[in-house]
Amino acid sequence: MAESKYDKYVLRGAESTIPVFPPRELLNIGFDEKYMEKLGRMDINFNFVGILTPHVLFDPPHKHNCDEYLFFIPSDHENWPDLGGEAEVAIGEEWEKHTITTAAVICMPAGVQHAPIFMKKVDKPFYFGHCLLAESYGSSQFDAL
Amino acid sequence: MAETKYGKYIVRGTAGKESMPGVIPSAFGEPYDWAGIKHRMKWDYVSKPVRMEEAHSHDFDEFLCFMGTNPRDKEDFGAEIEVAMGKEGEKQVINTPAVVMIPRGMVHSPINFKKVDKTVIYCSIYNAQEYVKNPA
Repeated sequence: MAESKYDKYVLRGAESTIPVFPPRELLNIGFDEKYMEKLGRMDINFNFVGILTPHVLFDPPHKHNCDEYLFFIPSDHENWPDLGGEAEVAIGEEWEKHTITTAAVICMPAGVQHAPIFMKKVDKPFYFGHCLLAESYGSSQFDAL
Repeated sequence: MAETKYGKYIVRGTAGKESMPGVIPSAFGEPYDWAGIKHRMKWDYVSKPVRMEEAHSHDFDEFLCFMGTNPRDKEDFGAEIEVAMGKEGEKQVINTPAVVMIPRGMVHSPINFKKVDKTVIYCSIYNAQEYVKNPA
């Protein structure tokens, strides 16, 4: 392929290094510090993970020192906005439980505790992910418990 | 549902309709000032060949994310998309799941979904409260 000015910006098969546990989850795409070597340092970190079967996500209750989005994306739009499953997200130190059964975006302002996240029901696999404004996931996280 | 302390942090999808033939956008109606968070995201389900946007730039970084609609198999990606980048309009062909980074100020678009054998998800993540475009 000829020398390209912008090829460096295209991350084919981009993956992040956050661990996932097949076959319950399957990482699809992501962006984290490993791409910053060629693109320069940026305060952003995200991924999209396929949720395949019911399970509780790896993360214990925690907070970040930056804002974060959590998102639930149905895998198709045939029954939009139906998620194809049911998730339960604990927010706050009270573990206030919120049930997600549709496409949804949750904003977690810096310092607001969240998790565990329980994928209770998966009728049809869907995508879940996070996007936070930090160079890496670990550097922004601190345990709440 | 009873009043909750943290329910304000969640926006849920509402019924959406095609924004152009073959394109169903996620519909949320996010508030401008949502707990002070400044980054945003939106996504489309693209089921037909379509050309989106004209050349433009932003004052913020943007990430264009492309995924198939089969979370069990990321190689199951049935589309070919051309993303024009830079003032030159250099075309990058996307035919696998991918993230395309658009640094602030860099001209990009159109995004041409040339071939769509199977619906794909096109998601934009951007570091701004409002999606403001500057002409190329």
